[in-house]
Amino acid sequence: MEVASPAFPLSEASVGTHLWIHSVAGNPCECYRLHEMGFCQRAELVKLSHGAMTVCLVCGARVGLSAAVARRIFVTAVSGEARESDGGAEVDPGPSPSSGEGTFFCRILDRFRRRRSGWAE
Amino acid sequence: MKLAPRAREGAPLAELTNIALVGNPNSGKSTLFNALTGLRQKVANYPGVTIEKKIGFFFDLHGRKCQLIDLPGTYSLLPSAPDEEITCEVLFGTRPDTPVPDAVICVVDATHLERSLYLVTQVLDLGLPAIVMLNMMDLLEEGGDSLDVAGLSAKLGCPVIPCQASRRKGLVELRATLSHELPPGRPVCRRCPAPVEESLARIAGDFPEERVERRALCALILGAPDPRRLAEVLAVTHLLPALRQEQERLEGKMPDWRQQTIAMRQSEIRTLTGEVLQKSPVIAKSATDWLDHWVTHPFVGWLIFLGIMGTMFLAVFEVGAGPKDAINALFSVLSARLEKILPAGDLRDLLTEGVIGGAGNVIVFLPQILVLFFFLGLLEDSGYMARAAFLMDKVMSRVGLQGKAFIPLLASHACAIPGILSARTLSDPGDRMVTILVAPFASCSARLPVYVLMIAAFFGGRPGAGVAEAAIVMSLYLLGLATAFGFAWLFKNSLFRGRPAPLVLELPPYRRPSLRTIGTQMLSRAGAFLRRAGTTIVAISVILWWLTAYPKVPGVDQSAQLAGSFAGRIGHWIEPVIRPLGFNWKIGIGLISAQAARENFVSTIGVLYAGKSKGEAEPIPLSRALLADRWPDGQPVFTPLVCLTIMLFFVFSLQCVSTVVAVRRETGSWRWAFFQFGYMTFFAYAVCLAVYQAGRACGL
Ligand SMILES: Nc1nc2c(ncn2[C@@H]2O[C@H](COP(=O)(O)OP(=O)(O)OP(=O)(O)O)[C@@H](O)[C@H]2O)c(=O)[nH]1
Ligand SMILES: [Mg+2]
Repeated sequence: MEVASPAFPLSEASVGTHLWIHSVAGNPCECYRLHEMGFCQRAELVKLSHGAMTVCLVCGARVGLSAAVARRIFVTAVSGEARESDGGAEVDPGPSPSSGEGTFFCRILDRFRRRRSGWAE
Repeated sequence: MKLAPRAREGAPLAELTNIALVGNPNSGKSTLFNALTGLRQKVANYPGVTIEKKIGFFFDLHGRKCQLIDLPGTYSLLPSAPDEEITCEVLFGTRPDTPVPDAVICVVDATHLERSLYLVTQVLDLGLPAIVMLNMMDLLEEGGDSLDVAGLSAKLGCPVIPCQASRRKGLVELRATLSHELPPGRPVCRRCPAPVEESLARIAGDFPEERVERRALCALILGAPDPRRLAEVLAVTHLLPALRQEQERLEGKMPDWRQQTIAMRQSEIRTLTGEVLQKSPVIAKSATDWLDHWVTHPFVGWLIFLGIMGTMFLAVFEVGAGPKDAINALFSVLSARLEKILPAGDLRDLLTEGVIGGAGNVIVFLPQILVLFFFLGLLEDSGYMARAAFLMDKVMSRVGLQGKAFIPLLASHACAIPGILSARTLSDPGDRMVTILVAPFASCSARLPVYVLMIAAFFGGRPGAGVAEAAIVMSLYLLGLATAFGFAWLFKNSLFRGRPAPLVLELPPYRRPSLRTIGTQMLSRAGAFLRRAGTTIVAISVILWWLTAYPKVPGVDQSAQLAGSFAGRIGHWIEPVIRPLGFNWKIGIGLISAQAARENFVSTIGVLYAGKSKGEAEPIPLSRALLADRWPDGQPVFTPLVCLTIMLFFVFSLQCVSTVVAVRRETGSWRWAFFQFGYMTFFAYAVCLAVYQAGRACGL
């Protein structure tokens, strides 16, 4: 069920949160392609990382966005607080869908990191 | 009839079946194309590798010949960049140089099923007979996910074949499926908002009866924010006024009708995917995220980038130098043998000085060029390229370009032509033009022989320290990149004003680079290099040898003969222009021949200085022969300052006829090609003049 929370830019969402896309600002041609790539109203998105590049999981694929684009995509939280400024940075992301990642050294690194931090498989 | 009659009536396919390969970027289309046809299309792990259609052949299980068309990747049938336009033109059968496809193979990355089905459903809506190839099944299984292939096939109403193109799995099934009749595509997502439905009902009938479904075609153009381009592609420009009227009407009724239409399709796809795909939960923060964080980090990311470049150039000198010396020794032995076997005369001189001295001196650089290609291959196949675009985005956006433009620039380090072609992936025409105009500043592999030769002369012909040599070459490469950025800023603030397009890029998974893929690329590059050395460079070397050997001046020494030859006369004629840069006439001749291709500089210098080895017990290396050359006042010609100036000239100037022709083709006018040639040559001359004169003033 959709939670009626105010929309905020993706750049302000905390890492690991599940979000709904609210709207995309910009010129129609750029927006159209973003919609087609899955950044479309009601689509769900998981923000995976933040920094020089914002990575999110949308339509089951990892998509990188520059900071400028992340500021133009407005989202709402699926549940609870998801905004960095609201102190939501520590939200436990929980399991997210696999995107077929984790090949080669990623798998090795994952195994190593899991062992060190005791992450659940 | 809406489709080619045979396809609609379920009759056997024609004798020569044309099949188009379409799919999202990086889904493995070219890998499948290579596996089916045995060709060697470029394959790499980043989106936007294929930017041109490529045709190959294979046979189905009944022995019927099929023509396969590999196409650039796209996310939608509404093109947003020139490479995607090619795909749409071929698919709609409006490209005059390409046969109309009878069937379509939709290559789907099984790990990105939901994303990929957007394009697949668009193809099916058009009613085209299609087969869905579920590629990368190995990755899907590794991730612990499972997919109901039969269920997907039933829902899409077309054959679905799981495959692993990289291991040639699933090809027999594909051939078998192609041996039978293919049903025409059945629309999967027909729902759209009511006002859009009304508009479609009003104007779809005006679309011409073609081989594709009118309603789907009409829906596609109606949704386009700028319908002109697609209308031109489909030759329905006469319908533009009606389309625009409907768009305005929709705008008034439902301001976000475009988004709503896409959202409806995606929601249907989401439901469909949920029914056939069982996803296993994985840890939320994967190592890929961790790597991405550091690789694109504003400080650590740059360290990694510079570290990779440093390692690459060190390897060029440390690993490539051994085989280079071995080939050099081989040519020396060959030259000595020829001198022994053949009587003194023109034939002997032609072979030793013209062919070996010219083309031989270029071929010796092959190992070092291959090391460079190996490293570029590693970058391309590992998944780093897409991340590099994000690392560069900050710098690039400061100069007004999008980070994606860094991919063509990086590709230009192998050769400027593929770099210029890959600018087609940029959606903004201004960004594309600027990228084309600055791409040749990226030091291509043809400059490497010149750099290596000049560095050897710079270090006095002694085997220099690998680290120092690598550092110089790396600085030259970085200087080329920095200059490209500088001119991009200039052009974006003058000729092509506009803000940079947003950077949105699908991130391929990090993969262990395939040695086979890289090896294939290296082999084909080596083949191209040797072909060029064996044809153009030999031809130019022979012509040049003739120009140096004639007219014969009897009874004079080697240097007087050279000075009096045709080459000497031309050289002395141009010397006043290049003398202010510290270049003598031989360097000038080298620069002229380098206009055809940069490696010709080395072969020309090889021919012009081949005489220096004459009378020596053993042929001396070219770099030492250069150091022995003197001005009439006894001063050495190849001082470190002159060597540096030559290298700088090569960093900045555009000496490659093929690049000029490629720019003409991509920009559609000679004006831009000549403008680029002119501004780069002028800039190279001005910088070299300043550096040489400043160096002289400092007593260097
Ligand atoms: N693991 C795995 N990798 C694959 C498979 N097929 C292709 N690849 C890899 O996927 C990457 C992309 O392959 P390409 O064939 O270049 O993809 P493409 O669809 O032609 O890409 P564009 O030309 O950019 O549209 C390469 O690194 C391939 O080695 C597969 O079945 N399994
Ligand atoms: Mg390809």
